[in-house]
Amino acid sequence: MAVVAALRDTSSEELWAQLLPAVQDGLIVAASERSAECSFFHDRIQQAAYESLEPQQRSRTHLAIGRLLREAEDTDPFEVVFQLNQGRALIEDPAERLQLSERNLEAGRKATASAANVAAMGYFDIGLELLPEEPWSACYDLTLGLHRSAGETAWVLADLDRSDALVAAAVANAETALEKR
Amino acid sequence: MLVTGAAGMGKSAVVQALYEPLTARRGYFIAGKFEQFRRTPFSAVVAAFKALVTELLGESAERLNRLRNDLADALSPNGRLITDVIPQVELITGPQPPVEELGAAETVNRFDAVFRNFVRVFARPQHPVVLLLDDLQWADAASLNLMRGLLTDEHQSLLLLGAYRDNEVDANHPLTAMLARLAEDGGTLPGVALKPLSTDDVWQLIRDTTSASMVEAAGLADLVVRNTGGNPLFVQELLKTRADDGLMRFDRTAGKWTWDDLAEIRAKGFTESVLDLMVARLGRLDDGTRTTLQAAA
Ligand SMILES: Nc1ncnc2c1ncn2[C@@H]1O[C@H](COP(=O)(O)OP(=O)(O)O)[C@@H](O)[C@H]1O
Ligand SMILES: [Mg+2]
Repeated sequence: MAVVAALRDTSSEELWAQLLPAVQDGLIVAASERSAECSFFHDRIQQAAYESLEPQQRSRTHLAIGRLLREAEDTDPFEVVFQLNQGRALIEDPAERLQLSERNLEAGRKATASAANVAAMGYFDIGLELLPEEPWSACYDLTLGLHRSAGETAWVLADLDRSDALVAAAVANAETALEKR
Repeated sequence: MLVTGAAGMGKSAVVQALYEPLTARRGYFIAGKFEQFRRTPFSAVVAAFKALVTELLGESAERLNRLRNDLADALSPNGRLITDVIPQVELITGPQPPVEELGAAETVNRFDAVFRNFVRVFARPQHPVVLLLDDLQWADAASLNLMRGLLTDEHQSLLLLGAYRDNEVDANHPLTAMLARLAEDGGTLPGVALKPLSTDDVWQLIRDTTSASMVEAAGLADLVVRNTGGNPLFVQELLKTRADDGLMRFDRTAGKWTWDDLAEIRAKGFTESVLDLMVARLGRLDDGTRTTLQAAA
């Protein structure tokens, strides 16, 4: 509820006043009035609410949530990356795009450590997508890291062509002999 | 055990109803649900074990101490793999040192083994664990893999309950692949497919909620079942919406719900789906409420 209140830029009193009709209508359920969390009565209701947003508005909302969570303490880093990724098409500031690319590399590596390789590949792909033009000269370490990690993960996922292509790109652009290994 | 049925068929309701009978004597019942619009690895598994840790923290210091030692024995030197995924575990184990970097394939095997050992600490004959994972149709591949690992491990007292919308899982779905691999390994999962409510069930439900006469209820039940196919959520939401429409009214003097005649309700026509009903209901809310629900969704 705190995130929704911040997102709607309203106090928790106002938020509850807005939600009351939906509670009375049985669309959402709250353990008590003013409880810190509430839930949709059924996934179908959440679906109806989510899909009633225009795609553009949906991305804007995800981005706003991601930016809020990014500043908050104790948030699940996967959650932050997920929200920002959903709104990444709307991020224009190159520094913010670069920072999100780094977050995706981190999330992907974390996912790899817990054997979540399909998810990890998704993060690496988005990380690569967010790189600026001429990435090897603009941000060498990040670009190398993404190519290497994505290459390894593609290999684990038995996507060998993809893995070869990523590793070949890394080798072709690597600066030192050690990194070319 | 797997419980299957389309959205609204009562899967979550039936598995949650198992809570009391399954925990009446001993053991833990922990639950998590996968989300439809949010894919983060292991979300439901993390939620379930987070709840378990919270419950355990309330136990005696002696038991917690034993648990800390058991976890150290089972996880060392790889405890960090667990606390990175389920940070609450640190509240029992304390901070864990970083793990050794391994190659990609070894990393997968190591995680599977460490997680199995983790679950073994809790799921023992003297306190079995019931792990409920709801909405498997939205599970990430890693969670499904983990599930398969748990299902083929004989050294633990774990009952895994899963629920999913079988009509939304096709041949290409990761869950299908997981179940196929499980079968290859000789694992089987008994399934329960939920059936729709019969006209009699709906008749009873309408009589209980509206206090209508047997005959009045019969006509409405017949109409409702033909529209909804007996899907409990659909039945419930259709009745609510028709009451909202003013076609069913609460008569205070008689103390029961009435409807003038069925023709009016029939004239509303059939509604395609629960989703259509929900879209219509959202449309009736004022802008502020609707926008808030959209943000929450
Ligand atoms: N046998 C039943 N009789 C009456 N109502 C039911 C029955 N099964 C489920 N319901 C109700 O139907 C709604 C949808 O059930 P739910 O368990 O959320 O469905 P699912 O998890 O399959 O989508 C809930 O409000 C639930 O209480
Ligand atoms: Mg459900």
